[in-house]
Amino acid sequence: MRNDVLADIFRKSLLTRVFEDRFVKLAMEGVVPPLLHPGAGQEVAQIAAIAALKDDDPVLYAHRGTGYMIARGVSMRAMLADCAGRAGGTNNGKGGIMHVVDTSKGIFGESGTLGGGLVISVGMGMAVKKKKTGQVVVHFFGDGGSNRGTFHESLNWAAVQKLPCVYICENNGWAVSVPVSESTAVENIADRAHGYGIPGVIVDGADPAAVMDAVRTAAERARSGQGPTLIEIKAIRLRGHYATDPQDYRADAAEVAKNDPLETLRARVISMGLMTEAEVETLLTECEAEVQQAVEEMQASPPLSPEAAFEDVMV
Amino acid sequence: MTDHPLIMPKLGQAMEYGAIAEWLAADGTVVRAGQAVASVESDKATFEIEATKSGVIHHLAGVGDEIPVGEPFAMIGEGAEAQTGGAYALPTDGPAAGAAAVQPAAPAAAAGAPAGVSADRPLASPRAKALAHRLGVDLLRVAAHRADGLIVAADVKALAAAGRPLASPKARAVAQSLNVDLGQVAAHRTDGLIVASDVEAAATRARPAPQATVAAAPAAEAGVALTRLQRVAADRLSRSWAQAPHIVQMVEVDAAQLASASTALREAGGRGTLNDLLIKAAADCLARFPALNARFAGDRLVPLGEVAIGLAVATDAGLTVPVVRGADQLNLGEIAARTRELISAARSGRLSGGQVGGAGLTISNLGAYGIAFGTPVLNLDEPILVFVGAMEERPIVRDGQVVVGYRTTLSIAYDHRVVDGLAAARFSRALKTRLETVAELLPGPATPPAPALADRELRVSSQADALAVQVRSARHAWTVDEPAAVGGRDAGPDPVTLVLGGLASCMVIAFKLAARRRKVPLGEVRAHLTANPEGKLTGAAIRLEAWSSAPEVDVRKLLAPAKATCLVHDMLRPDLPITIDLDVHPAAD
Amino acid sequence: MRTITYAKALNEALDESLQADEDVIIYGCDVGRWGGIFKITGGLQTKYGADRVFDSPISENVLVGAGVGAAVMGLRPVVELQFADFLITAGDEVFFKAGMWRFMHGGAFKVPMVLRLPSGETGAGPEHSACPEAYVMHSPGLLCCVPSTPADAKSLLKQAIQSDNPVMFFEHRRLYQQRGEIDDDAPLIPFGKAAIRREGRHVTIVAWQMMLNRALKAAETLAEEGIEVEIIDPRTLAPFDFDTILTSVKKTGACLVVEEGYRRLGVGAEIGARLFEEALPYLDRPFRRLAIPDVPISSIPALVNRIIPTVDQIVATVREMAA
Repeated sequence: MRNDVLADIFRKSLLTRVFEDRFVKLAMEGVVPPLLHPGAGQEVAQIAAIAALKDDDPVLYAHRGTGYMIARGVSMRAMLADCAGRAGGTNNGKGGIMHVVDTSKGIFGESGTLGGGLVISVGMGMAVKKKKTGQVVVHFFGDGGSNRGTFHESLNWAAVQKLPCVYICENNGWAVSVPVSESTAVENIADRAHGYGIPGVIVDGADPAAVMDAVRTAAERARSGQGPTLIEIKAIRLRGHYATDPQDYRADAAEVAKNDPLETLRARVISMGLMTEAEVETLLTECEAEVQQAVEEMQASPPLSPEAAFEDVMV
Repeated sequence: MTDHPLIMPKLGQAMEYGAIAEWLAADGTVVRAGQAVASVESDKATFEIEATKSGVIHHLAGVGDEIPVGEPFAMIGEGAEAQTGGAYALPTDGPAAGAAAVQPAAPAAAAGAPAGVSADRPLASPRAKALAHRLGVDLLRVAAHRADGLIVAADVKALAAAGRPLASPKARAVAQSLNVDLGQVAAHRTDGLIVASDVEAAATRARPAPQATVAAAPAAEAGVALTRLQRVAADRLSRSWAQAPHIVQMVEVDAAQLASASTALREAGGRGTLNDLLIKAAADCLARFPALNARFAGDRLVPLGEVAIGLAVATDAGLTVPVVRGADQLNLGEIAARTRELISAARSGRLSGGQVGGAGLTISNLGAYGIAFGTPVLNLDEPILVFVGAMEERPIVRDGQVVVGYRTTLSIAYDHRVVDGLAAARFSRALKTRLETVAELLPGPATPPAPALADRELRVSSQADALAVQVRSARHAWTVDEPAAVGGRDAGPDPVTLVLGGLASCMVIAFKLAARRRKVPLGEVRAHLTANPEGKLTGAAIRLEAWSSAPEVDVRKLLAPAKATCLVHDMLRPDLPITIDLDVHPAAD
Repeated sequence: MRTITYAKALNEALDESLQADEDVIIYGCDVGRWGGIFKITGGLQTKYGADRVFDSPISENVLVGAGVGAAVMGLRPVVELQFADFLITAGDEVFFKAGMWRFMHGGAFKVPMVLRLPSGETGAGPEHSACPEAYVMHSPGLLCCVPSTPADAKSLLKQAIQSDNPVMFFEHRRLYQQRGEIDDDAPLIPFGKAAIRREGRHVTIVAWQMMLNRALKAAETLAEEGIEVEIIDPRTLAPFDFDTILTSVKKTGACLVVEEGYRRLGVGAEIGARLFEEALPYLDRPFRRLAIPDVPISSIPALVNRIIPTVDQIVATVREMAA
């Protein structure tokens, strides 16, 4: 793995963490609704996965976290505007943080019903295949979403058609308040790949190089017409289900916090000599400033006209 | 608020308004509960109304004001607060009571502002407010006709009346554009809905007609004001004459027994008069013709239930018609006692609401004035009126010889909407027969009083000359007969039809009771029963139709319990095939 | 002018659309090799190849959802569900994805897809017999076609495929073999334009598809009695041409809706509510509906015929209204 790629993953992961922590604060202050599902603990893997793709590979992201958007350079101001009902957002006040969209950066949105994006990805895969654009459709989802029937219908048909799709399940062990062990019959989501005759790969979400390797391999396979791959990232969830979730159902929070992939990556970046402690501190300050600027710009934007409620229904 | 309204009671079946004839307690004075405070005239009689509570009375109406039933006409307040008068001292709708003790003008009116009405709180009389509340009229929509802007009950009524007839929105629009009063439009549809074509037809009919030719009084004469009783009577007679198609049948009656019986009664010590015999005979006949004992109500006939016989009584204030209720259940002596009491109350103007109105048959006996026959006008909403002519000796032909007979003529008016000519003729003949054999009614040693019947205990009797039987139960009486083809006179349903009627009725009732138990909303229920028309019954098919706002599946679930609980069905031979189909129609909630 | 069946008209519309636009694809259960269980796609795979006309697994969610995905990436998918009832099976994909994907992403996407939905009773029981168009009319973001004649079927299907919005296209199975004239040179029928199938002055009947046929039959009986009904075929339920109904009701003062859907909150309920809102001064008779009573549709013909509005019921209802 190239050092500059690793440093870039660290920088974007740190920015994501700062952005989301600020988002939670804004939610506490009532500036935005507490609808963000914080991705703390998963951002390194999300950003590493995106780093393994081409910039125009369409991404349908999962509901937890904003690492995908930060990785592709979607405007933080625009994302905040989506949530605060300000002009200049990506979805004109219609979908909040759940439906951030920027097709020019390959961010194709998300289904509000979990697992609902899986079926969309199949059609997108059919389209890029038919149009021979050379793109790969990447769909992120959680362990929770993998229990929807759409998972079965979609992976089956995508496999039948050998669609250029990559399915990335971020298994963080929790579906809202229910642990995977109580909701899912198999130990590994990736084991289900056998049911569709496609490769099932497991990677450690704290290891960006492993994630990149797995995704790159899957994307190459897809691009060459061999069909989809199911990748399971073993991840951890550091925060609650939503921005202000007290997580009183969870006993493992403190234990999990010790294994924060961002901390691991930070230590590695320093130990590898890519950055000094001081440079990391400077980077943090820069990230905070960048986020602060996004917040200020968002707050300077005019509120959306309530008439926007009537827009964008149909062409 | 401790103020307490005195409400115009409904003192007679037909009473819609009561007029203040006299205030017996002056405005602003203290009254005790139970004290008579006002004398009120309805269309039939005058009543006294008592305070329902002690306190200070405030009149809301003046003498002569007509108060709709259910509306307050006075308030009884407590002590000094009420005596200041402010709360209810607004000008009343009608002429002010002469005895009013406290009558300050309303503040707004006193200020001289003709409108005196704020946009959000219109100035309205208490009666207007009460009426508006009862009729659901928004006072803000009511236009006051008075110069001072005070909304009075008449204003509310005018607005409410506009919404009263059942008319389609289009019919209303047409009525407005053609300037037709919907109240004057007759609906041709059976559901009574006035539609646009009805309004257009009414507008066409209402082409300028010659002015009503009332015999013009000499210009110099001011005319004689009618009493309220006369005005109401005139109004009701006009409505009856205009609405009810009258048929009058005249039938000559051999009055020999009538004359001898009334003489016998007089000689026996005044326990009954000719009128009592007429009432008794009419009551017995009417009881045998329940179909005639009904009131026409637009789209249906409303059975009157009991047998009530009215007797026209002349009083100083005009003609009034007290009613003997349940007359078919009374013996002659009881009827005599009842009529004496009623006539006395009528003459002293003290008839109660229950003593007038709702007769199925009224007797008007002008025989004493030598009138032979007449063309009587029905009382409003009553189906039959019997005018009894003079009893006199007439030449009659008997066995080919002209002989002298003692005769009278009944002129019987029927509401043709209730009675067809044939049914009327049957009744006329029955009444004639009854009067010609009226001596049977006289109390004699041979007729022991019929013991009261228990539930499901029946008494059936049949006269020598007919197949027809009269059936009596504890509370009802009916006739069963056979059609002419079998030798009867078709005076009533035949026994099998009667049982089938019972079956269908019982099924409908059981269905409705099942709905009630299961709390399934049910509108109309109909049953159509068919069976082989002659001979032994080989089976019956019942098609039930029910209207309900509930899902059809819920209504359908009532069928099994209805069938299981239908007691008549249970009485029938188990091997008799009886099919029951159900159609469920949606109905609005 | 030619005379063709409704089924043939649909096939021609698909054929001509495949011919005209390379982005048009057709898929669904059995639509490829077999030509569809109702043979509407017959011959198309042979003609255009299996990469444009192809079979799918029995997976209604992904059938509809993939249509949305393909549409947002620039294809014009025409998806067949074998039974219109399966609209509910794929409810998330129909109502949330097809109906709202554009909206919730702030207009970033177009969703030019067509879902073909063969409707009407088949004797196959409650899950294979409905006319569920009211669900679609109720839900935002979806267009809804209910063609009643071969000419309308062809024209509206071509129009639907060309539309940049998701279209729920209800084809009534009982009409497939119905023949009708078709003018190949006529311009496409725009969405939201009702057809007046018969003119009259006494009662307005709104009906489509099989109920339209029954209404037209009833009209003949009624005409013999001197009752002239005006029959309006809405052709599309979303957009809905209420103006044509309003104009007619202003003339007749009476409106009956005959529909093969469930009565409660059905299309008739919507029409009735709008008449209340916009036509009250013109109504001269109680508004009436004939529809399937609120019970599921059985599989035995006698039971089915008991609940679907009949010609006799239409005649009796109109007679009562016109009284």
